[in-house]
Amino acid sequence: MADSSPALSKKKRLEVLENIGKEVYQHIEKMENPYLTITTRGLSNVKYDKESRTIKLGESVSKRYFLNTGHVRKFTQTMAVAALSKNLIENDKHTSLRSAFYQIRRTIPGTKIDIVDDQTETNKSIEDLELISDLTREQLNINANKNGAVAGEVIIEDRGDLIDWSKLGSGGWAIPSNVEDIIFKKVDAKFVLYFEKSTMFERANEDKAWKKLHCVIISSQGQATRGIRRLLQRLSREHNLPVYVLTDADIWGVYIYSAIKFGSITLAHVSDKLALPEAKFMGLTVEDIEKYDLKRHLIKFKDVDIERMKQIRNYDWFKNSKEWMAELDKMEKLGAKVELDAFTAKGLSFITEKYLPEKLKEGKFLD
Amino acid sequence: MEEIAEELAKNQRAISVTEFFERNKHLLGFDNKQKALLVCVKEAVDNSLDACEELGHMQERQKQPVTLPEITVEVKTTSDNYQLLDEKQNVAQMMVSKSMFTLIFEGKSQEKQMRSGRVSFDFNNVRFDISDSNDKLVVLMNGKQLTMRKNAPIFLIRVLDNGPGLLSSKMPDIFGRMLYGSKFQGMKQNRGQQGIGIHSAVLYAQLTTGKPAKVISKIKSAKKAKMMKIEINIAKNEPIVVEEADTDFPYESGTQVELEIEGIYVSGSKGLDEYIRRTALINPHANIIYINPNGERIVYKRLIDKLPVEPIPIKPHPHGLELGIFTRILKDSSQRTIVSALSEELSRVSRPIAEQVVKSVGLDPKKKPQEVSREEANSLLKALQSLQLMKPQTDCLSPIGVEELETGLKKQFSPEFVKAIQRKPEVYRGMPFQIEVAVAYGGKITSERATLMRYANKIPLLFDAASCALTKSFTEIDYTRYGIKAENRIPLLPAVFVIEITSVWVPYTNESKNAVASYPAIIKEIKLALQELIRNLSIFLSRKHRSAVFQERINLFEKYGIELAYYLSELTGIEEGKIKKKIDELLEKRKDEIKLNVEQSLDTSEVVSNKVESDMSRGKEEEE
Repeated sequence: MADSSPALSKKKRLEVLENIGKEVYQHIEKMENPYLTITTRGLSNVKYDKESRTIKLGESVSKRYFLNTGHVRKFTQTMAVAALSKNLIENDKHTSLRSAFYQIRRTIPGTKIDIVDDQTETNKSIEDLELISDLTREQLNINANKNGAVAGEVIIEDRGDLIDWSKLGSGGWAIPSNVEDIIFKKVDAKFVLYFEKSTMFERANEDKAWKKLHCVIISSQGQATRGIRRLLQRLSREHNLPVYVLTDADIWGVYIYSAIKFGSITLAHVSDKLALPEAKFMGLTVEDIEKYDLKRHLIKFKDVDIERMKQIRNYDWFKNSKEWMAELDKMEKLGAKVELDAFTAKGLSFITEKYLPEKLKEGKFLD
Repeated sequence: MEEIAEELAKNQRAISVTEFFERNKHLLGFDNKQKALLVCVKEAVDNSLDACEELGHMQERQKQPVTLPEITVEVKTTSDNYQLLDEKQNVAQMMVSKSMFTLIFEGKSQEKQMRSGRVSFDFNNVRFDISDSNDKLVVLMNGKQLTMRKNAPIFLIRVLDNGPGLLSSKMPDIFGRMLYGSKFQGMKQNRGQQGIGIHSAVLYAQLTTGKPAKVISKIKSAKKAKMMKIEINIAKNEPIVVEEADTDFPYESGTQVELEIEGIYVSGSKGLDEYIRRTALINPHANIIYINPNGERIVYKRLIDKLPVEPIPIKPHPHGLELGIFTRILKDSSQRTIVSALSEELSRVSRPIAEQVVKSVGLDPKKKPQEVSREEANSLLKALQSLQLMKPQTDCLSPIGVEELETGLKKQFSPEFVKAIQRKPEVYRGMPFQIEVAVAYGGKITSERATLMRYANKIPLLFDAASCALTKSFTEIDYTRYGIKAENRIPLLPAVFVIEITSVWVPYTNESKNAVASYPAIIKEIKLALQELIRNLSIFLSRKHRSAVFQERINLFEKYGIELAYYLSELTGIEEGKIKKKIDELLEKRKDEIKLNVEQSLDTSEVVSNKVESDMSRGKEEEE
């Protein structure tokens, strides 16, 4: 896997990109059909590594040819991303995924063909380039958009600025997509709480739950971004903080937890830097629904929920866990979900004053 | 047609011809004014083409130089047409052409010129005064003002040919007597068989405008042409020659007919222009000049200096006979006994067969054919039809010809691809028939869906498409099996298909003669012809598709190549132009391989469409 040190020299990174270009040019000079070799991504080429308890990319690779009507577009897009990245590194500039899309987007003169039609294409090409170059997106100087917030008893240094996460008012600190360069100055918190919902984060932040519970609270909206996952990993690895995940009681919540803990299928190539096998699932469990009398807030499963449930039951990292299979059974039997927001019906601060302290005291978490 | 004529004759005594015509005009094709205009033109043009070909064939037989058909068709509006009403009651009809006024009242018509804004008519003490003040017409009947309702306009139809011309002694009967020429004269493929007869058109003109037909005809031996204005005496079914004169004529021989009728001129697939266009397409040996009501002069030049083969009259075969015709054959026979009448007048009936049949129904073999009753004729016919007889001869037809069809299509559409198929003659119910089909693709044809042009004995069929065997066969083909996309069973191609049935007797579904009846033998032949045609078209299309896809791919790689050169230059610092040159070299070098890939990918999918998709996500990458 890539050298994760952010300090991998500029010169070295430029050399890697230049070599990709040179190799393609050599194919052309030899009058061969130019190709790129890319490790296959997707469910078919990921393995659950029992030892590290993370999802790892398999061995299978595929060749992407320029002279193939099915490949030429992606081939060109990948080269476009490589050229863009080289430019960024040379000039010590960073760009976001969104603006990378705009920087690459153009219509080929004399045609109706756009190099890229939407951002998913550049996003994929960037992931491809990560696999080809063995450099991470951050090392390619491309960042995701800011997403998510953090608050708690921690002081950090970011680009020379000291930031106290406990003195940031109602919004908390906006987590950048690249957290490699921040330095933890003082960590008083005893654990980390990750919320699936930003509304819950706002609730907990207003109640200063992090102060009462001596913790760090983090949230995004939906899936945790790379920046958040790397931040969680660093807090856990560098300061031995337990990480607890709190999501809706549904299959999508389970997968958010899964991605944080085991890594995701699409980013299996960077699991080393993002996965956090030590993370624990706090809730909502089906038991919580009973215990905290949330049954009035049940929302019936739709077909997509049931479909997704089937897929997740088949993932190796769940299949072999008795405790998770039991939880999924319960969930399926219930045939309905409950969202975190249901707590507000029991009183605005019910979650911080009752649920969280009780769960922590009880100390029972799904692994 | 004979049946209608018979009906007409029978009913004539009980009710007036006018009334009968009114009641049955839908059968004759006069049920709407748009169709009426077309039918009248068609009658005249069919007669002209038949006459010209007859002349040519006669010249061929006599080893003389052959005169090829020259037809001029002119259709123009002549007058505005008004219905005059008194208390919502129809009283008279008035036609106005500049200052000429024609008034029709109680079946009589008068024509007068307006002078100083006034004109008056007198019909047996009924007086009409018409005045024009400030371009507004006022009509008084016996002093009482009438309301005017504008009707369909009046058209003058003029059809001129260089055929053999008509004997002036025959002219009145040909145009002015309803049953003229109905004696059974054997079976021969011609256009006239389809028609309702020119006299019906004359009658329609008379009923709608009160104007006689104006006919000019010249035979080669005459110095001058004869002009006659012919009316029909409706009560007696007799021609009246209203006016007669000698006049000049543009050809050595030929005929010109002028009819004035009420009609509606439309453009589009059921209009006059299209009818003429389709007529020209199927008659490439004729020069056709057409002046339409907008004054546009359209010339369809002769493309082939050769007459179609002369059709041979044949005796009717019992399997295709209907009782009405059979009784007429017996009545008209010059044979003395029923046995000799059967063996002489019918085809594939030998003397022993005739004797056997006559015996089997218990008739006296010596009975005169003219004395056979309708009932006896019926049993005879049934007995004949129950026998296994030899098929009729089939060398009596005059199909259009492959070269003629292809030439016509090439000239009209300049297509990318053209192909005609001619089947061998076949037989349905004792009637010989032959199928020809053709297709033209691309060129001036830009429609998304294919058009079907139906013809029977070289006459375009424009109406009743849905009930026609030709349409049915066309839409029963599974085009997708040939890799051609279709919608509602019509191929989605810029193409024109032609289907022609040639027969001594085309079986129409009804008397308006616009749809061919669905005999299984006919449908089968059409389908076989179409299948062969479409196989040919499909081969052309897939070749075209292949080269288009190949070109598309080369273009695609070239375009992406420009981009690739730029990015590679950015990455490696090598000069962009140099990389571009290398990529072009690469494309040139690997061209054959790309071509082969196209062949292979198309062989597996075999999907051909007229639009080449620029789908680049095809050929999914192995991994995802």
